[in-house]
Amino acid sequence: MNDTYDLIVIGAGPSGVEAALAAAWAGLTVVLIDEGPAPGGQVWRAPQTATAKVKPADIDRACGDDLRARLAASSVDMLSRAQVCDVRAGFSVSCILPQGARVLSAPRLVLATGATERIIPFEGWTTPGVFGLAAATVLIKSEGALPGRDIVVAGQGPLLIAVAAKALALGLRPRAIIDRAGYGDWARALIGFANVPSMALQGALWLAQLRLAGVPMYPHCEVIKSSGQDCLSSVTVRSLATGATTEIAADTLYVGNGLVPVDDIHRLLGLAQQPDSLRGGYKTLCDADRRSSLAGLYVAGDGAGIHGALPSAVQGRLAGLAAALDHGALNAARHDAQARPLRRRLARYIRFADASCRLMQFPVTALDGVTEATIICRCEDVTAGDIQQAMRNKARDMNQLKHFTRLGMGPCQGRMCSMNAACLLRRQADLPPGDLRLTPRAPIRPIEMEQLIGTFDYADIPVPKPAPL
Amino acid sequence: MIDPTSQQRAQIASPIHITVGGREVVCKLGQTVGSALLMERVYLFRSSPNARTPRGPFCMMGACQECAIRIDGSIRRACQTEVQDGMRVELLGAGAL
Repeated sequence: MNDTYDLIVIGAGPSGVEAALAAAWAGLTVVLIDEGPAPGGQVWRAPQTATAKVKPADIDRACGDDLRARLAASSVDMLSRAQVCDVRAGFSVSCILPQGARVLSAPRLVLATGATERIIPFEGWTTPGVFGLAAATVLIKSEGALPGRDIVVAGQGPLLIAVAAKALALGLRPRAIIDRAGYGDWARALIGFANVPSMALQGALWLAQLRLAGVPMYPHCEVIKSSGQDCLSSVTVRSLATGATTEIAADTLYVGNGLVPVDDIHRLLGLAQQPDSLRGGYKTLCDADRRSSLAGLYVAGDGAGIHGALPSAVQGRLAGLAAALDHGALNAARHDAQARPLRRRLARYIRFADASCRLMQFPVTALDGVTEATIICRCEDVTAGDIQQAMRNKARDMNQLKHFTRLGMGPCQGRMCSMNAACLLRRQADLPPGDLRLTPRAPIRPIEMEQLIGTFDYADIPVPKPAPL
Repeated sequence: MIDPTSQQRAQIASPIHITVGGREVVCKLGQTVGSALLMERVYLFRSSPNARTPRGPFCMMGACQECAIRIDGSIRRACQTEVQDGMRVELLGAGAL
């Protein structure tokens, strides 16, 4: 088992795998690390159960299978089920595997950590039976099944239609689709979608299937409340246009409001970032070959800025090729011959991606309707009212908010709440523009002491003999 | 439907038995504890430590930590833990001690 490589790639989604493959093709020794049981990331997640494996392959499955096959045939060392807990410049990556802790070293690093979902909170969103939209795709892809009988699909973005259509294909007719976007938003997006006709066609097909099945659509509406004691029993929906509300009986709600980058490591290493006005969150700055502000570090995929699977894969290849060039394994001419067509393809995919991202837009006013009783920090039960109280007590930034309320101190470490809390803070305190984020610190994933220490015991601590008196 | 291979047929046929709060639950190879419980219509996994509100899985990607319950004696995210024969699951979170 080797611990030193020419290149470490963190994240085995479309961008990470392509980066690893490109670098390995050029002759670098590469290790690829991922949390999941198999490569593919979220969007091209591998089927895990037999039921899922025998389902006919859709486009995501086909892309994922192709990716996994090319990876298996390559010289890349794949480390699955590996939780990265710390990364230091230089680079050394500490991770926890089922067998124990390991530290990997390389002069070059590619971050391909992907995206996570953002949800606009509402009263009752912590009720069991409320899940993210991405959660639905995880279950559909790895299990080939979806829990629930009376399901409602809500939120915004193309994932909304994808999940509803896939639920329908599994025999689960959604009781309603609640879309923040109106018809105008979709019409505007269509122009961008035309850049990748196959994807546009897929979307149109899904919409047609839903219409044919008579699934009730609620455009320009939002979920404002989930009701139910131990489990979900109904969902209250409000029209963004008229303010009128209606209640829909449901036992399962899948809700999501777009994607945000997973940039723990980017922030830990102090990479230069910029607020992403279109998508919310931050994007990590890089050159046309994916080099970040830190020498030897390349960023690719949604982790550096949300664009979706197709641009991510191309960015990954560019990053891998750049690492190979900088390593000296490729001369400038050979590199350029590979990179130039990729950059052109990327530009076309980005036009499609930007159209999708407009649908996931998260304006600073998105949390205006949040009531005092709405939980913002799930882990610590901190409500919007608690945050307002903290601000009356002069809390002016995220760290102060954390100290006053415990927001962000729970197991998820602000993953689910810090962006929304920052939104409330900025909105209500009229603060000057600036970075309103919690200080990034290792470990970036919750780990048990046992996993870190392993078989190391007190008796193993080297204690120097005291000097003679 | 693609015809399952004989190996896949065997996998579908040989289920995995776990216990959840003492009750036996039959699940499939490849499922996580989280998805197995959800497909059994168990949505309530634990209570939040501060306000004791009912909680269950939310993100299914290992980010939200809402599904972290006692699995074979230690707190593990149910959505990131694959089912194994004989696994003991308790619907208790870290705060419930």
